[in-house]
Amino acid sequence: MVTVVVSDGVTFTMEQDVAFQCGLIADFAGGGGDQEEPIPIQAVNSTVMRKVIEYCEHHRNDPPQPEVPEGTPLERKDRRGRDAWDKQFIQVEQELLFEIILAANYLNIKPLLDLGCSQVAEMMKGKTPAEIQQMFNIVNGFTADEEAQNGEGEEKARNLNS
Amino acid sequence: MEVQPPSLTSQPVELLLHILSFQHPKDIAQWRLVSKYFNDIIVGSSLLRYKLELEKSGFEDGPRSELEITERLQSLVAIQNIWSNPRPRVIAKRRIPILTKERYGEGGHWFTFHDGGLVRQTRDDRTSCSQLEIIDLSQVAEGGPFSIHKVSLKYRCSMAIVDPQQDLLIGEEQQVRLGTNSWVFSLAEVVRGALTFFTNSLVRNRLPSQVYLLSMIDGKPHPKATRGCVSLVHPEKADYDGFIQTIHGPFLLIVFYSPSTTNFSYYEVMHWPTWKLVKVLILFCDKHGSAAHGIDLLIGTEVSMCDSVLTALRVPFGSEYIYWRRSVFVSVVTSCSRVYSSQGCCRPNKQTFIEVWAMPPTDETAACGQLTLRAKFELPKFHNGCLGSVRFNTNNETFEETLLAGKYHDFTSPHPALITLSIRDHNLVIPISTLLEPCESQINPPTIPWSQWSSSLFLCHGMPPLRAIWGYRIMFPDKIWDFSPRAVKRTQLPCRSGHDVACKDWRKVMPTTLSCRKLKRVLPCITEWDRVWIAETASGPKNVTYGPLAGFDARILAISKSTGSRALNDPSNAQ
Repeated sequence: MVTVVVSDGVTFTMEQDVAFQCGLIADFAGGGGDQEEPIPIQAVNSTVMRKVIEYCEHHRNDPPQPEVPEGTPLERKDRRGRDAWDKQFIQVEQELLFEIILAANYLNIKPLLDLGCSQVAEMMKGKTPAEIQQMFNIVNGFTADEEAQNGEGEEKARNLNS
Repeated sequence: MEVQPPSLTSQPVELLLHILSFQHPKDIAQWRLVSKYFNDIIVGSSLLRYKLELEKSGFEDGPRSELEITERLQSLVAIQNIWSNPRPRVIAKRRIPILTKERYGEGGHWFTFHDGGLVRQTRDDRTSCSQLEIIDLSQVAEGGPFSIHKVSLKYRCSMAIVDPQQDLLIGEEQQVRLGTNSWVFSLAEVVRGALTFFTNSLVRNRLPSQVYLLSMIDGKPHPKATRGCVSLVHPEKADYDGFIQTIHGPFLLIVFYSPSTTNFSYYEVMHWPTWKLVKVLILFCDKHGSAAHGIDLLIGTEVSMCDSVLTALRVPFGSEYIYWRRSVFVSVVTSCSRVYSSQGCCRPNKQTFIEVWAMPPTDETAACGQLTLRAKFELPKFHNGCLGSVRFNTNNETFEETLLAGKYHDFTSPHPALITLSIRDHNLVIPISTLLEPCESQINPPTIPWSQWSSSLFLCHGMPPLRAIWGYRIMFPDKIWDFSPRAVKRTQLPCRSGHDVACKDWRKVMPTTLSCRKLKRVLPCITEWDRVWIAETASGPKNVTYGPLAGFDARILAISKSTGSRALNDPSNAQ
């Protein structure tokens, strides 16, 4: 059993094969037996940690991911297929989604990170720049000149799409 | 402790890049416009830029490439530069009128492959003409458009001359080493290799009846490599002096999709005489470079080649298969007996026509009793923007869709149904079942013995897209329908009764009579028997005896060689 303490002081206890899906915890525990001390995880709060643990428990019996060598990044995208459960799992508020991504990055859970990122990518798919700006509340920061250029750019992008 | 709620922009850069790497290049292009910050991130990432460039150039990434992304990006940019500025060896110059501007890519260039050469056409807007230059293939081999170095060589192919009847090797099998090109561009290499091989064997007067391309990977035959990747059929006495206008024989056309040639196949195919271009063989190559799927496609439609092929293969467009499109190449061969779509149309007058196609039924559409249709109408230019409509009437319901002039529209229609196409005051009503009749059942092979065919037998190739094969004019009781290629292209061509328009054909080689011998040669090339009308005109106009016009009291004008090029049978004095 592994115990962790998150930023708002909540303690979680989980079995080793669940916990060791998080690269960070696995590193912490160092592969040795049960951990006496709770592992402090300051960057994650309890809401997010609950989601993360839910994910890890569902995937505890998955076969280990085959290592994808770096350097061939273009076609490596389709690893663990997103099953129905995953899709359901990641249907969360935008804010929580980003927290999950950050947590997955911090805790080093590759499949969850990919799942979150592909979900964000999914949300942005087929949107125009203006829609994306509105959706994620982004200030574009282009100067007037650049805006004018963008007009042409958009035209080109549209041509590319057609 | 961070307190601000996490949002997209507050994510670390590497996470943003990770998110973006899940995106389709089209979406990445959009992202560059979202904010300056994102633009900077994307431009700064060679992976994303590489993806964007790939999308732009139409190449496919080589999954086995051993290069770093940055090197691949450099190679790609280099190849794009070469593409836009090849150093042509100008063999000859000729000015030809610009037919369609769209086929010229950026910089007004348009590249095609012809007869062992890469032809570059340069558009000159001032004179509305185009200059043709032929780029020698040997030069291409030394670093022309497709050459790119430093990339792993994994591809080799061998070619052989094969007699299809006996399935024997005639020529020697040759190993064609395809240079040091990358996997990415191996297809182009193959294309080049095939062309070189084809021309070489022509030069040696060994006309390849069929060139088989045997793909090999790493020295071993690829499991999926099938014979017949490139098929050529009997180029008889081909005149290979290098120009489109002067080619009389069958030829090989290979299209490599890239921005400068996106619509090339369609335009080129559209404007070449039909009898030369009877069949298009399209091969889809899988990631390993071998042909995974082949499909025969009837040409002569304005449907974009990609779209129809993808439809035919029932590949969901826009998915990851979009990359498939990049590895399509097309060869044109000259014998074919299969037609995929049947067609029904009408031509209310010279300038307006309606066309409707039924797409080959798929399992899914057949199961739910539906049918995909593709319809289009055309109007004189100044009426563009005019709307037409297509209406489906079934037993209990009617529904209607709007058509825009000059564009193909796809519909799903219940089957059976009665389709009504309407434009302005023209209506075309057709039962949907007529679109579905298998073409084989409509074939009306001539039953007249060859010896009885007179020298002025006349073939007309009728329905839009209109193209005459040998004869040009059909006289109807009240008006003339002019089917000459020229008239189809330029509807303002005067179409006076009895005037010989055939001789004004752009190829300037149009014979006005047909001998039995020629006819024998032409007939097997015609695939669309349902749309070929044959009439006999040796001793004056007679009724059409075959095809859709049977019994229609149509008369055909023929020009007899013996009496010169003047019209022989003017309807006014024929009676």
